[in-house]
Amino acid sequence: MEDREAGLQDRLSDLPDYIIHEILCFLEINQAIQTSVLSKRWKNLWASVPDLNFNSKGFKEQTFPKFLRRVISKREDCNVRRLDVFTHLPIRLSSMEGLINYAVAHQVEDFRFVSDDVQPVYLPECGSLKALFISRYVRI
Amino acid sequence: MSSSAENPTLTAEITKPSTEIATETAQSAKKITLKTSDDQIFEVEESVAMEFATVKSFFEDAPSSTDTVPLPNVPAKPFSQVIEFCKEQIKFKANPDETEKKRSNSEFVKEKTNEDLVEMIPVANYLEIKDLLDVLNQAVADRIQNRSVEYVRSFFGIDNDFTSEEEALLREEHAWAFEDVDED
Repeated sequence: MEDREAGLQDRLSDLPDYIIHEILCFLEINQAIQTSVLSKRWKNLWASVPDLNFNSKGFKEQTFPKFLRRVISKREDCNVRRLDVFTHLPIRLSSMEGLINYAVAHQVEDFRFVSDDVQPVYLPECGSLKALFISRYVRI
Repeated sequence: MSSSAENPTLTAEITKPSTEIATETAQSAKKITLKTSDDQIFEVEESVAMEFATVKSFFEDAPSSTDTVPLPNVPAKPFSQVIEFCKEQIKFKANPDETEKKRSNSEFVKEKTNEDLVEMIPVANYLEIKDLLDVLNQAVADRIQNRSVEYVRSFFGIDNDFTSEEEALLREEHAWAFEDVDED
C-alpha cells in the first residue's frame, strides 16, 4: 500500500478550498486544526471550515470549554453552517454561551448538542437556524 | 488489479436488460454518448447519465439532442470509476435498502487508492453527483482521521514546504489542538 502511494502527485492539495473544506467537515475540529501543519497550503484552511464538530473525547471537564473558546478565537470571520457538540462530560449549554453566540452571529443553520447534562437554557433568537437537536448522552 | 483506464469504453458497456424489461420501449435502453477531456468516448445508459446533474440539465435544455456531450475537465480514468459508482446507485433507487447501500458504498471506496479517490472528487463535483461527493469526502477524511501529520503527508504525497523552524513554531502555536487528545 505504502509503496503504491510513493511518488504520488499531491492532488489533494490541488483541490479548491471549498472542496477541501467539505473533506474537513467530516473531521472533528481538533483533527481539522492538525492539518494546518501539513504544508503552507493547509495552514489556514481549517479556520474557515463551514461545519464545526466538537467532541469532548480526550478532554477533561475543565479543558473542553477552554478548547471551544480557543477554536472560536482562532477562526476566521466566516459563516457556520453546522455546529455539532458531542460531549460525554456534564457540560451545560449555559457554559457554552460564547460558542452559541458566535454560531448565532455567524448564521448557524444546524445546531446539534449532545451532553451528559441537558438543562433548560435560553437560546438567543436565531433567524438562520433550520434544525436544532438537543439530546442527553446515553451510555450503553 | 488491472487499471480500468486502459479501456474505458469497455467499462461503460451496458448490461443487457433482463427478459422482464426487455419488452419495454427502446427508450429504457437509450444510450448517451459522452466525451471526456482526454477524448475518450463513453456510451452509458441514459439512466446512469441522468445521475449526473450536469448532463441531466444539458438534456433538459435540449431534450431531443443526440449529440455527444462534451465533459471538459473530466478525464477518462476517474470517469469510468464514477460510472461504476452510479450504476450501483441506480439499483438502490429501484430497491431502497440503506444498509446495503452503505455496505456497497464502503466497498466501493475501500478498494480505491488515494489517487483514485482524490481524482474522482473534482469529477463528482463537476457532474454534481452529491451522494458520490459525500462518499468520497468522507473516505478521504477517514484516511486522515487519527493519523499523524507525517503519515498524512506521505500517504497523500503532500510536500512539506515549511522550514523546520516554521514547522516547530506552528506546532507550538497549535499545541492546544494536539494536546488532550488520544494518541490512537
